[in-house]
Amino acid sequence: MSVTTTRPSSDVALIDLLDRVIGGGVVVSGDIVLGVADVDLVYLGLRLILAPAHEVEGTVNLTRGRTP
Amino acid sequence: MMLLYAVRPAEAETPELVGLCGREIETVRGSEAALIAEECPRAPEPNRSMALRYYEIVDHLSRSAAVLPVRFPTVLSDRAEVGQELARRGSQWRRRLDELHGLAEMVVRATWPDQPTSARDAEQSVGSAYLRHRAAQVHAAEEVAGELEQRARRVCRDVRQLPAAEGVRLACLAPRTAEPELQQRLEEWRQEGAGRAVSLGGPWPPFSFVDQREAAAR
Repeated sequence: MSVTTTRPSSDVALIDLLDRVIGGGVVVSGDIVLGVADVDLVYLGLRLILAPAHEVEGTVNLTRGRTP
Repeated sequence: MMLLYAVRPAEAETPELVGLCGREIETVRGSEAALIAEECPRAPEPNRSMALRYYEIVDHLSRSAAVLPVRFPTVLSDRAEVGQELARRGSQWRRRLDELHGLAEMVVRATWPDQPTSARDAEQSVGSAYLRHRAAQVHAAEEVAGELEQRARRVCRDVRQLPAAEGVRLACLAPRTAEPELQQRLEEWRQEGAGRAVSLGGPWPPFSFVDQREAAAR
């Protein structure tokens, strides 16, 4: 088996692609997304759906730390 | 509110594209850079299909000019706030756009046989034996990452190590035309050890290379 070139239709490529879409890119204004009050909840929800496990764990800890 | 897609050079023409909110995307220009955005009545639903559609738009934009993708989903309150961001960071973005011109990101995934295939394997060990096993795994991953990075750097202008649940994941910044050569370098590594596997994703817009400082911290 040689090096596999993964295309957007494959599961592995989709995971890598979605990981980069929500984990990479320019951060504008300290990542202020989706309004003010529900930022962390909405963003956490997205990452729970899309992100690999090692990143979800970090996000959950971060969110708990922010909870009053 | 304004949903942001990407930063592009101020002089680049924007193709006609319909955004996630069903409206035509627009260009807010600064003196050096422009932000591609869409006016939305509310923030888009942050789900998988929206993220993929966002990617398609950014990818389309990247085919006619350099882009710095904006992390999905980012919204600003109005055009005035978009203009303020351009005034504040336009020069910095423009420098990076010039550095990234003609380059794309490819993601390398590599695995090898002497590592557990699931978290359940790790849970079956206890105490110091488990810790020793984990230390050996981490050491092996660092060695492989270093070796792969060294080979990738013969082709890639920049290489970043990405978090990986299993094995090693590297982001490579290179011209799209360099994909066959990168494949060749990776294939050489794969053939040097039994059970090794490598996959290559992309080429994509340079999500992992938009900013030297931010990307290095990830």
